[in-house]
Amino acid sequence: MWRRKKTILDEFEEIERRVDKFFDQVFSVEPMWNLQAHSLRPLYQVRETKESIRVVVDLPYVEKEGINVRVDEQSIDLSAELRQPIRYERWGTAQRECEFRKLSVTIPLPAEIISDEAVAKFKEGVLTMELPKKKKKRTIRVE
Amino acid sequence: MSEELPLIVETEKLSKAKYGILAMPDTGLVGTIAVGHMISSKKMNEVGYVRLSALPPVLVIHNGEPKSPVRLYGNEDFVVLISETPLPFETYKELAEQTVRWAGEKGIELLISLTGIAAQNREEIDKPQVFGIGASAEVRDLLKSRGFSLLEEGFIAGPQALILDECIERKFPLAVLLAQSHSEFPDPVAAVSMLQGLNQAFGLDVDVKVLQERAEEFRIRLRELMQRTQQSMHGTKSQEEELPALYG
Repeated sequence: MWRRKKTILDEFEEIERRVDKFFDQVFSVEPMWNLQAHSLRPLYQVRETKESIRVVVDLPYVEKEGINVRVDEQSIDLSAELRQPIRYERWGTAQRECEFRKLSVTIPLPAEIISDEAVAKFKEGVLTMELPKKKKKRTIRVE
Repeated sequence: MSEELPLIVETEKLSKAKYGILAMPDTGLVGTIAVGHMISSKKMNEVGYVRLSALPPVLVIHNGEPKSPVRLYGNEDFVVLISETPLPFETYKELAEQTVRWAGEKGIELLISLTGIAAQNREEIDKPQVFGIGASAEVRDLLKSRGFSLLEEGFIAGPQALILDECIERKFPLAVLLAQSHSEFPDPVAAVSMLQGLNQAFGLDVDVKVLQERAEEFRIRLRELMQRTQQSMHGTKSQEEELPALYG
């Protein structure tokens, strides 16, 4: 089967799609809970520098041992068991008792990272992850 | 023609209060948490509410009763103004003018506005420091004499900036207190530092034990307010992390 070679425009479109997806995920107003999964979405910050991406997640009511983080080149999946369930007597519009047992979130990353070199520390209920970015620079020949 | 209603409405007659304390959702929700705790621990009465022309179309329901999200609570020593929702930029100017005018009419001796100041290394700070900004030399001297370090260089943004500006213009005594805080997470520990500073400096006698014990629970329960606050402040508060280009 004949397949068209990827052009620079295709590359730009791909980058644009990824940027749009990132902004949609970060700035859209999604519910911060999932009643079926008994989970709450934690707050997080993503800061990008030239060399790396720093992701900071607020994880109150969590012990270090209860944190499960999976990282790939483009996103972080985080789940953390709460030390004890959080119970709401009248939850939002449902106005019924609800219980939440974990914090969980998928965090899209603004650039590809080297997942094997990611490091994390947990202090005072705040998880900080340092994720080195993939270097994509290539030397070009000047004629 | 409809009768013009006042913008700050007293539902209970307020006697003269010495201090007026202001808190709106912003950096780390420090002011909101501190004043919310103050209201419950001192069992302060609801004494009024605020109507602004550009308030968001939101009412809050408490125990079945619809209320304005911007309300006044008071006792014999102090009156507090608290907002349960982030306020849109368009309301800042009107809120600043009305608050300062009203404080003058009530004979309030000092307005104290509570907020957070983003500390980049917040997790490394065990006890957040509280800084002060005074609208006048007299207030700056007062803050120093009561143990606060003054914020010597920096920016202040958001409603506090306009209230400060209004107080400078009208020569009304105002202190802005800023506790080192997480920029985008609710920070009850910063609120504890703020209340301890207020207790020591102004004799408010607010017990912070419950707030210390329930700090993690506050962080969980205030996530949505923090997120909405972040969205409403987007771009305006980031300048507080910079230093001014010129020196005094």
